[in-house]
Amino acid sequence: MNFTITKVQLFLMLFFRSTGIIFIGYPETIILAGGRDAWIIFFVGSLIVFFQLWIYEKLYKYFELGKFTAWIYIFIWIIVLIGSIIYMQYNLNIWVQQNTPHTISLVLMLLISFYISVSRPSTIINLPVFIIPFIFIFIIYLLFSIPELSLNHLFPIGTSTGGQWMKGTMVAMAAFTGLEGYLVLRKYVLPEDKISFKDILTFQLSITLFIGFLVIVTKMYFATDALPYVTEPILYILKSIEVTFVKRLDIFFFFLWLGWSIISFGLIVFNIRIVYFKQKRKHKIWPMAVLHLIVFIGSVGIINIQVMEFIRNHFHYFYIPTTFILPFIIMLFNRRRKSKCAEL
Amino acid sequence: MRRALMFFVISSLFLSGCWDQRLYKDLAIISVIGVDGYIGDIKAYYAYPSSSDDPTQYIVLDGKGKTAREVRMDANNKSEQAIDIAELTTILFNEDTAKKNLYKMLDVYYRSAQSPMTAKIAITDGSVKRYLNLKETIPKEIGEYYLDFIKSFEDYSIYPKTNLEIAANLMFSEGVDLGLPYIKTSGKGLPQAKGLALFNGQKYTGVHLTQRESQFVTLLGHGKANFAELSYLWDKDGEQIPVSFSVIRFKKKKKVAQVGSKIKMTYEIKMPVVMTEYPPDHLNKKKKRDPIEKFIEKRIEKDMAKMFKKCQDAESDVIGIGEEIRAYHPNLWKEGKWKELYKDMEIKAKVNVQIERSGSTR
Amino acid sequence: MLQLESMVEKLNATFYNSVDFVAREISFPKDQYAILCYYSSMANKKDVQDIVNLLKMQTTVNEKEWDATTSSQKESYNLEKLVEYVCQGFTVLLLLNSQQMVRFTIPDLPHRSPDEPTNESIIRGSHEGFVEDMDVNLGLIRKRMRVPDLIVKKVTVGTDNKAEVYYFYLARFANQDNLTELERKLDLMKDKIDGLYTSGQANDFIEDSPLSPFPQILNTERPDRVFANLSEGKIIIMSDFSPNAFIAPVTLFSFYQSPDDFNSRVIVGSFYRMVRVFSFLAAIFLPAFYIAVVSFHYEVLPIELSKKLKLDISEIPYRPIFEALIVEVIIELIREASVRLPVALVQTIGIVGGLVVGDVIINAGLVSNMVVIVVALTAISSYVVPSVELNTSIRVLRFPFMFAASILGFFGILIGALALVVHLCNLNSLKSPYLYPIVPFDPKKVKQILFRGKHTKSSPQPSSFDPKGREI
Repeated sequence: MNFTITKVQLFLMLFFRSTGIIFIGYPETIILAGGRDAWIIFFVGSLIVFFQLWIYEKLYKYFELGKFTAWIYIFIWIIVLIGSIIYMQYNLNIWVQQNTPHTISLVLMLLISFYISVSRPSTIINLPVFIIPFIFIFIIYLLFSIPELSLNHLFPIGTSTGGQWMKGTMVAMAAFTGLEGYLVLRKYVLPEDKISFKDILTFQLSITLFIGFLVIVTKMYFATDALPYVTEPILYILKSIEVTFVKRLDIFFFFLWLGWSIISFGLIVFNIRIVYFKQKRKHKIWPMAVLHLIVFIGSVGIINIQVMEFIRNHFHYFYIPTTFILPFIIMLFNRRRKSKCAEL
Repeated sequence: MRRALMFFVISSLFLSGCWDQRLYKDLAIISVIGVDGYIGDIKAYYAYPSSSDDPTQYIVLDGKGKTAREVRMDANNKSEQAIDIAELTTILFNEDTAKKNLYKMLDVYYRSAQSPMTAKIAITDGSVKRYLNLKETIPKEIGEYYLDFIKSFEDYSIYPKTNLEIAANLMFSEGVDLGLPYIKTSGKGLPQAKGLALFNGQKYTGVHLTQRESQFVTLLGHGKANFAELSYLWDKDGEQIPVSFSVIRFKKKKKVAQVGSKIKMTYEIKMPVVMTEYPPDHLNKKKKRDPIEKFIEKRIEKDMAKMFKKCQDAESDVIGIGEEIRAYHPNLWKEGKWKELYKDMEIKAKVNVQIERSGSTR
Repeated sequence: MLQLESMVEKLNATFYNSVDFVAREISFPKDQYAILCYYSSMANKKDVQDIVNLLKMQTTVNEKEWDATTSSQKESYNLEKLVEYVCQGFTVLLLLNSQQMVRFTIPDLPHRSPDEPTNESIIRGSHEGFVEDMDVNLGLIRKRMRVPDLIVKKVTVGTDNKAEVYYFYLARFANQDNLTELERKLDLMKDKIDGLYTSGQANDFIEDSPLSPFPQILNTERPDRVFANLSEGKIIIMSDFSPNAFIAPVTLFSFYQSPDDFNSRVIVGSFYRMVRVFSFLAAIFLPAFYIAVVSFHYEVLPIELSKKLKLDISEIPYRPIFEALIVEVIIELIREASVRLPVALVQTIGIVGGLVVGDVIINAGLVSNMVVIVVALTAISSYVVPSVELNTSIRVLRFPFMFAASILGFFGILIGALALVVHLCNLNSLKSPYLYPIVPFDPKKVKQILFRGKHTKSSPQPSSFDPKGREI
């Protein structure tokens, strides 16, 4: 695995990795968890993540995975992969394909991801670029819902309870799941591409504005009591927007989301690939085939509402251990060891 | 091996085993649905265009059953093609059905991802059957006819904009209520829009506003759409003078105060207008304009007061006053008990009309 | 004297007594006997006579450098070489006494005048085109590129019928990696190919992935296009006797740029560049989109359109995929027929195909109006591409998408599109990224895909997939 990336590519990958799979359903989760102040909680959570990223940048040199920690991460990422593919498949069944067997669509999606994973690294590094124009189209179409938005839904401020704040902050940070990829990929950035405070700020601001926009639109669109009945609020909003030339925007944007998610899925696989191929390995293709097979077997039998609700209600518990605690333990541990070595 | 694989791939192309395929040509595309009765005994009518030469020709299927799905399956049995509601434009509900619980009747549409959320809902006076078996020739395909019918009223700020999704949203929110178009037919001639059916939560209250009152609800609650026109007859010293105008802008300010246990709310409305009918002319003189403005202000205030009264009596907050109170005066808001407060509120409107343009004559 | 006659006989035998082969003894000063041999079909007899006279005169004046003219070269006699030279159209003067031969490079091969290539015509700008003669072609380029570091190299390929392949580049700009890769490939081709009769054969050897539907070599007959690409650091490959110039490495987007762009105004040029990008999408996805809509996702249609469409297709007996295939096949037939037919008859095909078949097939109820509109629009879109190679590729590419759409609807299109995008990302042309500036992503250059900026400086294509190799 010999490659270099620019900082633009690094941030693009992180953006699409984090927003990828969750963005159509995320606003509902955070609003239900955080109550009326959810949108403020989200910005607060994003601020915390910003400082976390900043510390990452200071310490990334110490993030070196040993054999054991590497396998822990690979295991965690496989769990994330299985969860994502279940979520994608379930939504595919709900929104468009009621009768197509799970296996067919799962195999097709995994085949694409497999194809990406055996291509050269630059393929997956640059794939997110294809989504960029669609983000703008997506936002423009969401803006069509402005006449139905009501500012009244955002106020009054300060009604969420302490418990809501706690849980809300956790969910807010979960919007940035996958930031551990920053530590994995940071080393491959061209040395002449210095990442400054401003770069991190720009990145964090853009991802916050994008998801924050979705949260606010959802909050302003739905009545508080109507929201719990809806599963993917963004698609619901798109479904009820009236434009003259096409009737069901949600179908197009569902497939945009699916493409986005497959690329995001590929980015997680890419993380696994980097960590796994750090040691010299004999085979290049087989491990990837096995990985996709594991994901397939792990997901194919359990695509139902019970698992879905479990994923929806628990995905935010992933963030703190994997993106917060574990990296910091590794970095601090390595730092101490290095300073000790220096002393000797 | 390779040949076998090729054969398999090619032959699979010719199989019709494309799981989710629903060939458009094999479906009866329903454009209007009418529903009578309530869960336990539902009767529904499904209209779809039948002739390729004359789009105004349509067929009405009827179905009977205990649940909404059962009715659709029953109707399906009577059609040579499978019926499909993905292109649905309008759903008509008998007012008696809506009085019981509208949401329960609509669940079947919300649950299916295929159903269009942009379809309009209307409440009919009496059985919906009459609205689907129109004897007169309509200018368009029936689905488009009802859709455009309601849409044109929305454009003229007479009805607030609604569709299936907005309706669900409003039925669930406490601080604002749903208002749906109310249509009526005498049996002869085409159906007529009669006003706005007021909802309280998920139920129709049985009260409907007039067209003019409905227009004020729309202006106050949702703002002016593309156009807003009003017309009054001024009885000035025994002389009947038509006064018509269209609203250029509609600006409102709300003032909320607590008087005892009551909430007092005053709308201060600023409304520049352009005159569209005024036979006595001479609008260039301020002396002439002032009394007209006064007259309009008074009439509108009177009409609005009537409208507020009607809404409060029906316990239907179609304007969305509750949302305002909750957002900006949270101390006055009581979760779950809004309607009790709303009933006793004192709502007033102060209108300030300004003739800004006189039209192309003075 | 005896020797002379036997030599003539021997030469005639070597050339199988071909009637257009001439071996004629002439007398030469210094009491030498000489044999003049050439193919009369390839040499201009008057020129031959002029040079022979000139040589004769020079021999009497200056004995040492008697052979020095601009177009002649002296070497020692070798029958094998002689055969090769004559086959290439040279005239050879054989001096028997001193065992030497002189060849004149005055082949008079038939070629066209440098007219504008009909399949690459533009509205403004130079109207010259390459011809089937390398000297003329190089002249056309040198005329525009007046620098000394335009390097022209030659490789002889073929085991049987030898042909010459030329490649040239600007030493200043061309990338060494690309050059090494090209030389390696030409080396490989040298012995594998028995004869080069069309330049397309070379294509398969030079391309990185010949099985990909996308051409990785830009094929042009326009000197101005070659010139523009030279200054971007591209390498040009030409064979003698073919007017086609292969340009490599290229990106996908260079197939969508026409020299016309820079002859028109900035806004106009940008507009047409955008039209072409749109046409690329339409040509691949439109029929698949139609099929997916009418057999899976008809709910996306706006109400007014859906009613018309529904009534239109209700009576069609076939599934949408076959309906579309019928029209596609008809259009491909019309296209193929109009390519083969003489120009005078093409219009007839247009009328028969377009009006008669098109109208009647709808009235007969075989296909619907909508599918004819869709397929016609697709066909037009695919012809917008300024490159013939990509245009044919695109027309073929839409069939897999149509099948995918008929099986899985939009999901099939999505999966197909992702596979296509990944394939494009993986492609390289002479080891350079094919999808630059998207792979590797260069935000500053992306706008060039859609807009034609003010032309100030040409920029070369990077040779590496890593951003490291960007600075060249």
